[in-house]
Amino acid sequence: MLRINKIQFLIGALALLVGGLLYLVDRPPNYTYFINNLVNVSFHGDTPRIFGSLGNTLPAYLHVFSFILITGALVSDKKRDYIIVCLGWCFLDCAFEVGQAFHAWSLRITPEWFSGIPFLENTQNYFLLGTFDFFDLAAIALGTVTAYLLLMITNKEKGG
Amino acid sequence: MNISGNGPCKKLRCLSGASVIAFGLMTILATGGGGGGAPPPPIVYRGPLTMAVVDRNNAQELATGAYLGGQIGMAMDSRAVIELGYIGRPRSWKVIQVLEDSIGHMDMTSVAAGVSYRGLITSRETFACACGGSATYDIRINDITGEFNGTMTFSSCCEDGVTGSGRADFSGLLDISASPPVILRFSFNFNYLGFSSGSDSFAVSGIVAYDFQTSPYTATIDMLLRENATGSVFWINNFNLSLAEGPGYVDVHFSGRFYDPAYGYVDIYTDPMQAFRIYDGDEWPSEGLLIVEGDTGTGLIATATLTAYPPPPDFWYEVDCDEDGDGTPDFNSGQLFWQ
Repeated sequence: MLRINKIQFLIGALALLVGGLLYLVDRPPNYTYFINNLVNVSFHGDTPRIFGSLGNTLPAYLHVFSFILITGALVSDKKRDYIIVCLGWCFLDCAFEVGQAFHAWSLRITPEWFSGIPFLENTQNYFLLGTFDFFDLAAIALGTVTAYLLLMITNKEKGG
Repeated sequence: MNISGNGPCKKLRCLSGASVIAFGLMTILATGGGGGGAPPPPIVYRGPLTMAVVDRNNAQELATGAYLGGQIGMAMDSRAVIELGYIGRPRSWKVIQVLEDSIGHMDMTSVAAGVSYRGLITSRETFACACGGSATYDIRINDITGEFNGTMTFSSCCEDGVTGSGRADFSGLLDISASPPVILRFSFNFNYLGFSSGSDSFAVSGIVAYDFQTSPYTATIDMLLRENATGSVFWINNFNLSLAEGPGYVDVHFSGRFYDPAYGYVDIYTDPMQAFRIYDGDEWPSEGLLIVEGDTGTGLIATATLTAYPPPPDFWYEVDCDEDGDGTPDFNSGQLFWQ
């Protein structure tokens, strides 16, 4: 039986839901692949922007934060493993963000066979049309630190 | 990493960890991650690149499509024709209006008065748009030649009832010796800008260039336009559009090539003596004559002519079609209403 740290998992899932809500409410639907291609539902324009200008950077924070918690909850309860999980997600998110700043190079290493495969087909657009933002990098760093602290607080292991 | 658990449990943890990582990567790609730049889907024209055969069956569709920059809010699904609302003013006009109003909001006087470093003045400004939203631009001006370039990000920027979002690069020329400095040329280059007004919603990718040295000013447009309601992509190619403002109205002249994904391209131009006149507060033209040239199917020029009329009973138009290229109309649509 797989042991899951339920608190970590629930907090991570909740953060992920908040991130999803942000895209449904605050972002124009045409700008989001999963709204255009999967859910086809948007409340943008129907309600006031919930997150205001924070909504520009919050997804970067929530993404790394939620996936660190979910991964941590599922794969390990060892404190030293949490550092690997945190650094892994932080590196991954930062790499994608920086890839937008150097989109010519990013496009060169994007395999052509990605086109036509759901989600992967958006890789080219992600780098070509996405906006690099230092605030996103800061949000990723902050998300990593807070997720690590939360993992430590909610960890049931004694020692590590 | 020492994943805890014994044999099957360890495998299960590895599997769930890999699934979470895959899901995490998918969400990055599916949302764009964050910042100002969630990546939009590409706009690609996939229709014929040949000249459209114009006949009585498609003359109205091509003429109104060329005027409006798409169809009049109707789409077919497997069950029925769906009403999708109406377009109103030509979409090309909506685009150039939002962009031109944004240029008008730029405070070039204070930018040009900024501190020059190695011959370049740089500035970052934000302005509020007329009916909501804002736009932020970063600009670099050569303080000797007056050439400038930069990036403008529109955040639900609303001008005259049309809302635009997205990011555009720009460049141009400023008469820096004039007081106040005067913009002579301005060109936007964008991969994706989204626009909405009323029930009409579309996205564009391409170039809009303004020449403010002519009066009335002219805008040159080369862009792909996707209707969000139907997903159809049209190509507005080498359009020249001029807006001449009079007391309480605007006269719109345009010419260029319009690619319809169902038929191919037509060459269009407004009658020089009969521009499309749209009065303030109106969505539809009270007068105007548009000539649409296509193929007869035998290599001759077939023509569809759209003529606009004011109420009563409502704004309407008629389309004449010379489908055999002999110079004489073979078909008249009768009275048609814009909505």
